[in-house]
Amino acid sequence: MLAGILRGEATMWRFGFVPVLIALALGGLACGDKGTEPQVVTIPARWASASASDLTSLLQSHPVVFVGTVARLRETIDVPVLKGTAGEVQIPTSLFSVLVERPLTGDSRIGEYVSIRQAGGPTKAADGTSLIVTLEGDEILEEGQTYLFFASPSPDGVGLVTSPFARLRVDTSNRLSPLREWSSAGALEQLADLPADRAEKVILRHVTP
Amino acid sequence: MTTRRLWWITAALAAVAAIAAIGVASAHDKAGPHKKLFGSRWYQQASGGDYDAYMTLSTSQLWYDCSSDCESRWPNAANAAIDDWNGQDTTVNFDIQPDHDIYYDVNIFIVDAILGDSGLLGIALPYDINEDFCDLDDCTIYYGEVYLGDLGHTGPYGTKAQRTGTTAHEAGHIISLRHESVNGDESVQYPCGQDNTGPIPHSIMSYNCADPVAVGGLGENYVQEWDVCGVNHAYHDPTIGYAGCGGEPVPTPTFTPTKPPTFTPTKPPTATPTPTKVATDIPTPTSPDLPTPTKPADPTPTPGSDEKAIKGLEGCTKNTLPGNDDDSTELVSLPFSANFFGSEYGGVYVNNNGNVTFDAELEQFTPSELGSVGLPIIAPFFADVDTREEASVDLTYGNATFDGRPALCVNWDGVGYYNRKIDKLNEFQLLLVDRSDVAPGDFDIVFNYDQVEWETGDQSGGTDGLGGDSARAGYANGVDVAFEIEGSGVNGALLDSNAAGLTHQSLGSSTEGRYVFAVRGGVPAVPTSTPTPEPTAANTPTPAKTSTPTNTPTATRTPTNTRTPTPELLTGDVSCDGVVNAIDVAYILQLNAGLLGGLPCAAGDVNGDGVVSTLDAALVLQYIAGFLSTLG
Repeated sequence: MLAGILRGEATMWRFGFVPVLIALALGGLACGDKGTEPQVVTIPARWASASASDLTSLLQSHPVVFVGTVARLRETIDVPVLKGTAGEVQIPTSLFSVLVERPLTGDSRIGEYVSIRQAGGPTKAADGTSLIVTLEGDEILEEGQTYLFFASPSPDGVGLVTSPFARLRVDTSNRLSPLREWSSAGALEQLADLPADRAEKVILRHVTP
Repeated sequence: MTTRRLWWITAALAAVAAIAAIGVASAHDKAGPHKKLFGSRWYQQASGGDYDAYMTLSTSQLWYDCSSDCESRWPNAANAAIDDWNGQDTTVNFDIQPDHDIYYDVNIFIVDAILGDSGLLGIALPYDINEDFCDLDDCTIYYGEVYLGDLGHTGPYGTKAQRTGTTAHEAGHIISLRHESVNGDESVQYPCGQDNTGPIPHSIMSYNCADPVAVGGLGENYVQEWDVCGVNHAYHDPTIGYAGCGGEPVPTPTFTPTKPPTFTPTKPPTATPTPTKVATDIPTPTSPDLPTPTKPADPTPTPGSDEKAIKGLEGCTKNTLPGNDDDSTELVSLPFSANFFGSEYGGVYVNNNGNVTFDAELEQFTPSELGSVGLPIIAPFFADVDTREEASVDLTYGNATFDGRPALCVNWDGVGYYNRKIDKLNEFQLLLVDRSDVAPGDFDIVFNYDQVEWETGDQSGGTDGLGGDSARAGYANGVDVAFEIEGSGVNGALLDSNAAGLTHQSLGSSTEGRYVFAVRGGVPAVPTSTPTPEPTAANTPTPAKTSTPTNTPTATRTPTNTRTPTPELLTGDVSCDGVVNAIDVAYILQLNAGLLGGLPCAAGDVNGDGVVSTLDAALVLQYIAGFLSTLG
């Protein structure tokens, strides 16, 4: 459930049911051209992107580096971000299984599946409408796509976390491309458009023993 | 709630939907950049503006859900941000309540990591009437929540100013302000004060304006006039008008953070030579105080002959750097001690990409101005050499004897270019020749070129070895002095196909393809005329050879001094925009209020008392007002 659990009744009391119906109708109009495509809801976010200013910093903050292919979206969980309080709300977080193909640094092995955790993902609104929640500056990982991941263990121990400025797509010609929004970050500029094997060499040279 | 009231809400919702549908974020037409706004509005202002009243958003006390002691770090910072917004001339007021209550309009939560991601500093969540997250471009907001990540606020972000900035930024989202650092399709990050339309005013909604100074941001963690303008557009009230929109775009300071170089050498040397400073006042190559250049070693010039420039010296091929791309040797000992720009070196790193460096190896493959690589460098041909293919000769190096003097010899004698290309090959050589016979630490730099067929690797914008970021030749001290042979970085200029290419010219030598720089007292001298060969340690040339060359070598290359002068600071111009004005006053005041971590330009100590204080701001104000004729 996306809705705040405790707020529901109070809000309905405050504003009545008619506006709800109107809003639903308007929502239907807004989605009219989209067919069954889930509506994408983007949450504004500010990222601590300074670590992407150079490769050494990026490696220090993301010590697990590997090339891997997203095998599947294992699950989407609605994470309560304010546990145990009256204001508890839930935002979807996705856990992807990623097949490690070329480990570079950190604790990962060839052929191993690791869990990559990403804020956002598919979910449903209160009325059952399918939604995809993304954070601004990010895009949901794509199944079957190969990425160069810079990751770090999640603070709560659930999988690895990779930021939007800490991964690059490996395209069909084996070259790297960052998310466009972060393409001017120093570390990503260094790696963008490089063949993956060459990028690996560059990365390994920046690893502090 | 009466039926009449409900119908008003209905009409209001419909209006918002219409506004969102046509993408109109502002009714105020004004030339110049437009403040970036989301399409959504709070339900109170659903008619799109002209609410004819201030919009008051009840705001809860901060909520905490932290495992650490975040409660000690956030109250002052977050409340300062809300106070900042409330102190502006806008139509929106965050009405801070004395308690916590989820039914208030705005709730701000402090958590350890947002969604398990410690890289997230903050997010803003608008909710619609269904209590669903809603798209800020397509929503009527009924309440809003801000989440601030405590763990993300570490390192350069771990300051009160940054916490304040994140809070103000996310609060800005909640009241419909969009990021300023991205262009219309929300894709590319722009530096503070810029977007795809050109200069724009600074904003708390720009990543780069607010990011820490230590990582290239401007540290402007406060609400700016442009943000005030935005709010007064989004929630327009005729009684307050468009406050904040009157100013022209704030010029982007000249120190606008620059992106790091394409490749920054960061790997520490595996064996660190300890430079010994032997001179503290290093003259530049163009300084009139330069020591008189000693004629460099070039013992056997045969002008007009078919002599190859590259010397086939014994020892040059003693060691091999196996076929590679971008690799370097370990520290290679020099057979003498070299004084290069005041530092004494016993060895160099030989880099495959046509250069040697002091202090550390260099893996950079796309050539940039030699003065920008950040290392002392001597580069006969800085470009993307690739010797992985068998047809490309591997780099070789070793100690040799050149004209009876110890020398380090490095050969790139038939090397290809990236990516494994061998259709064109280059042949060049570097000699570092001991000249301690002149003075301790003195040496000659000799570049020899026999064949230059390519200038660029495929990864440097070139095609088939040509074009793009082409090769550079010269030297630099790694800080502020550099010399590049004319034609460096110019497409086609250094190639054999050019009549003025490297193999057809010379400098400090009468042998075509040879370029000699005498380093005396640590300073390389750029020869300006054809040298007269000097006696060597091994033999003495006949007078005829030195006085009557059969033709005149064309040593006409003009030194390209790439030294960057240090710009003079204008006292009081802390914004670095070239003028002293109210912006500078604002900077100084914000610094003293603790909202800035630093100033763009260190020109704020107007009265010279050693600190930048409000007194300096007052002096600048008096200067602007004409009460003072000068500053400093």
